[in-house]
Amino acid sequence: MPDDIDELQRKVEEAAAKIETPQDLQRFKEEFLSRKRGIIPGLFKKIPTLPPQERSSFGKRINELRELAESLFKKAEERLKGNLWRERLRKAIPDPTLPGYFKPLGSVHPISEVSHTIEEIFLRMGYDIEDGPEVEMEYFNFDALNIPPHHPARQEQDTFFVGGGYLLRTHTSPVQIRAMRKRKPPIRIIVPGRVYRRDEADPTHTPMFYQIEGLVVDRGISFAHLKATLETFLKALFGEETGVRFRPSYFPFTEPSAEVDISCPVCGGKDPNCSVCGGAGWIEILGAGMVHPEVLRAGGIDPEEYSGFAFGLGVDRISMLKRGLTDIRNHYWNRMDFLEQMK
Amino acid sequence: MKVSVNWLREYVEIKGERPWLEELFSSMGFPPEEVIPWGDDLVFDLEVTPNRPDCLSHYGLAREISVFTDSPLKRVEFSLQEDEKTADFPIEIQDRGLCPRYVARIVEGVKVGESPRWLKEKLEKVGLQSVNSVVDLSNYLLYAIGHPTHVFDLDKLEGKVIVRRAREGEKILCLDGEERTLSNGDLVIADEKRPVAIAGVIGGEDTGVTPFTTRVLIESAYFDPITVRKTSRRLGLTTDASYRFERGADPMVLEFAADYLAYLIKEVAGGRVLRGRAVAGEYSEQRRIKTSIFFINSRLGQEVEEDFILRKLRGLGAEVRKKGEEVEVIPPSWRRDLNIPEDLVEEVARLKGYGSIEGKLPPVEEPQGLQTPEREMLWKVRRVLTGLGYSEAMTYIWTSPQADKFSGGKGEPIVVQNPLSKENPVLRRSLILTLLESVSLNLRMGRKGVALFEVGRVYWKDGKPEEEKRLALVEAGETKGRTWDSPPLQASFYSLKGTAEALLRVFALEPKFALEDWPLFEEGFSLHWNGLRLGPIKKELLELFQIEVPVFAAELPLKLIPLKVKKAYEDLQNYPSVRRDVSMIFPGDVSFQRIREVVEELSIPILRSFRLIDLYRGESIGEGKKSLTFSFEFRAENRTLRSEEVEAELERIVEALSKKLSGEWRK
Repeated sequence: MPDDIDELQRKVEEAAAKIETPQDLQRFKEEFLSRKRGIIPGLFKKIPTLPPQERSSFGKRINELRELAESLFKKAEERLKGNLWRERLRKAIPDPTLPGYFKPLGSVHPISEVSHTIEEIFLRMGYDIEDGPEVEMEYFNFDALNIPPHHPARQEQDTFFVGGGYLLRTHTSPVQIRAMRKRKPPIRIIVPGRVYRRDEADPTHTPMFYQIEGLVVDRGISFAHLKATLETFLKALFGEETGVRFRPSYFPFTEPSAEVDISCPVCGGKDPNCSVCGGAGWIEILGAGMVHPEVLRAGGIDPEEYSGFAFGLGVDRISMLKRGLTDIRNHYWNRMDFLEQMK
Repeated sequence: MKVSVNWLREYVEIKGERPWLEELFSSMGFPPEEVIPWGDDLVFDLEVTPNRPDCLSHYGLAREISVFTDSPLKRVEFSLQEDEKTADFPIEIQDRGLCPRYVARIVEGVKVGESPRWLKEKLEKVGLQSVNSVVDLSNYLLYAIGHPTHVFDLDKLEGKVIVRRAREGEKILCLDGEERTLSNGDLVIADEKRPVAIAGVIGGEDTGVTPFTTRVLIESAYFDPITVRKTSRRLGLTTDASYRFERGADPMVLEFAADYLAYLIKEVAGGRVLRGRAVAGEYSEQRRIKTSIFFINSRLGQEVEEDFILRKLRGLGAEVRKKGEEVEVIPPSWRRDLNIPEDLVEEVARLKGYGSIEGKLPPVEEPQGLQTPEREMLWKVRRVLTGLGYSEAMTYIWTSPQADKFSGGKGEPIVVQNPLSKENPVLRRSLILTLLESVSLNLRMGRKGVALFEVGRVYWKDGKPEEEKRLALVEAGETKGRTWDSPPLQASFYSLKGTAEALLRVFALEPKFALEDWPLFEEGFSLHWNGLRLGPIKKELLELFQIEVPVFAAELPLKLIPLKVKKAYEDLQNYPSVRRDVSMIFPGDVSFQRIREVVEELSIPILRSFRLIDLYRGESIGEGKKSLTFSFEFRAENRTLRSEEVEAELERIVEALSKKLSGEWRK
């Protein structure tokens, strides 16, 4: 008799493992667990026919078997429910390797992005952001910046004129004058914005580009302050390891004037055929200097009492450097395929 | 300017090789643009800044090197053998303001010929071609000591030399073979009959030195920089001479230059140098800079020793006197750029080395820029629009007069007088015009869909120029791409409108659009609210840009978006919301706007939202009618809604729509 039970348990287990459909499930229930015809309830009826000493152990044994069968039934039932769910999923996901739906994600313009980063650095250093007109008075663009009529610097910046003493600003520097007239020292500002020069577009020139001007005016501002400010800024922008070099230069609106180079961010000066620095190891990145006393005066500030420094940098060049791009015109063609890389 | 290192060695010791020189020139402020190996010599092409005309010659540059490297400068020495005969030639300056002093030397019995090899070679290195010995020597002198001179064939001059303003329309045949017409602003050298040279720019052909010339007059003068610059600019002619005069020649070198050239001509081409010089005018200057060691050091932000400062300033050729704290500097005549104390600060910094000045951050006592609301607002705009699939563009601001006609802009257009492209001289009065150019380029390059936005300015004239910051959006084609199991999503009016509404909602703005025609958009389809306009671009305008697909666009003044957003936020309690969908049939001319207004007028507090989820027209509902299905969401924040309350409100809504807009409930 115990051997028969073991045999039956094997049958139950085998049958449970074969349940694939709701019909199988029903058949399993009927065969083993149905009160009327099921094999296991049928075994209980046999108990009275057994010798008394075997009844208790036999009863225990078939009770265990019934519990086992019931639990296998439950498991199979759940497995079938799960199968149905998965069946539906299989229809929805015929091939998980098919491409995901295309989610169009726009991107911020490369110039806006770099400008934002640069603004962030100066905001942390306690600068404010200032703004000025793009159709500017000739006076603010040139004369007030110590560039009198017929100064050679006027020719170097080929200008778009719109008549009536107005032009498209050739640099963000006129905002220096406007800011000085509007604010009182200490002045600490940057001025991001578009500027215009009459250059035919080629891989390194566009008639419109983007500058950021900086101006600091206070008592006792020195060349050493200018140096540390730009060193701090350039290392923040290009990395702590970046080398910064100041060279004498000339701008009518600053005295002393400097041109600032950074160590080549691409080759670090190690590649004699570097496409970015041409092996020089240094890249000209911005112009700067101590604000010329005539410029302070034009801004209504007494150069005997105050001094200041100013700088101007081309955002396009920085965008190109940071991204390894070589054709500036891409910034203004606005090809979606170009812009979408900026995500 | 091209510089031969061997030539420099004639005036100063060069203590290093090529890298040393590159570094030296850079630290002076003249970075080499190119270095050309030339036999045993090196030729540097230096970028000399316009404030340093004194360095536009080998001697001038050597002078600078000598101060930088503490090496002695070898002066140009010669002894001029003069003839018995004196050089008394009449010179008359009519405009002393434009030519304060004119010095001439006369050499007779000259044999003009081919230049010797050393001379040709030197000129070749600086990029000049040999003409003849006398002309070459004048050029040599310019590249040697920096002063431009001119040599006339004396036998061709009729009467005296006159320095005067040109007469309007006067003509002169120049040495380059071109005839030029002069104007009253130009300064000329003339004889009694005609102009023989444009002062400081170019000589005349008739009086130039030829192989047959035997008597020459050497001109060594100082001309007003602005006059030379204006003339050179007007004629579109820059010469080695004009390049130097317009930056400022050394007014005290005239005699030396004339003597030296006379000496060189006698040495190379023979002849007799007449005794003395013919001279007109005089020049004197009183440049004095008063400063102090304290001032220089406080501007540098570093203590530079007094000794160094005084020694180096003297090395530059300045007279330096120290009286108590005050330092008085009389700059050398060749340094036209030294005029104010700040100029001396730069000299000290340069000679000390910009690299040796240690940086020190300025103290920040009052941080500024703690609030930059416009910047934050713009960044939010960018975040929303890029999230919705639009990319930011930055377009050129120039457009055509034809396109401008569609702009609907304020005032008069601003027109660039000297545009780069004759087709596009007008500054845009709508961002959409220049965005269309980018849409067009994208489509031409094979792009199927374009979705762009731009933050930029528009410009117009209202007496004086005005400008306004704006935001514009454009979309065209398959903007959302396509997937393998659904049709492509096309750019559409409602997509664009939805974007505009979503963006405005971020800033707590609920636009109430009105239908209003606008030149940019097709008639009958454009909407307006507080300066925000949107619609489908007019076909005629698209044709100007060769665009063949519909383009939808919106534009708004940036000031429409508030910098401080006042939004009402509410805490939620966890009571469920109830949704009811209702279909109603309306006469075809009832606008959705009217329906919305009727529902909003009821101001039902538990109605949280109201959406259109279906629109149907068809025979089954009757001709000229439309069926709209709305989805209403109800919710209360203090209780679970009972179904009777919801039904009651729903009935009120349906009743109002039936009464006011003849809607029928379609159950």
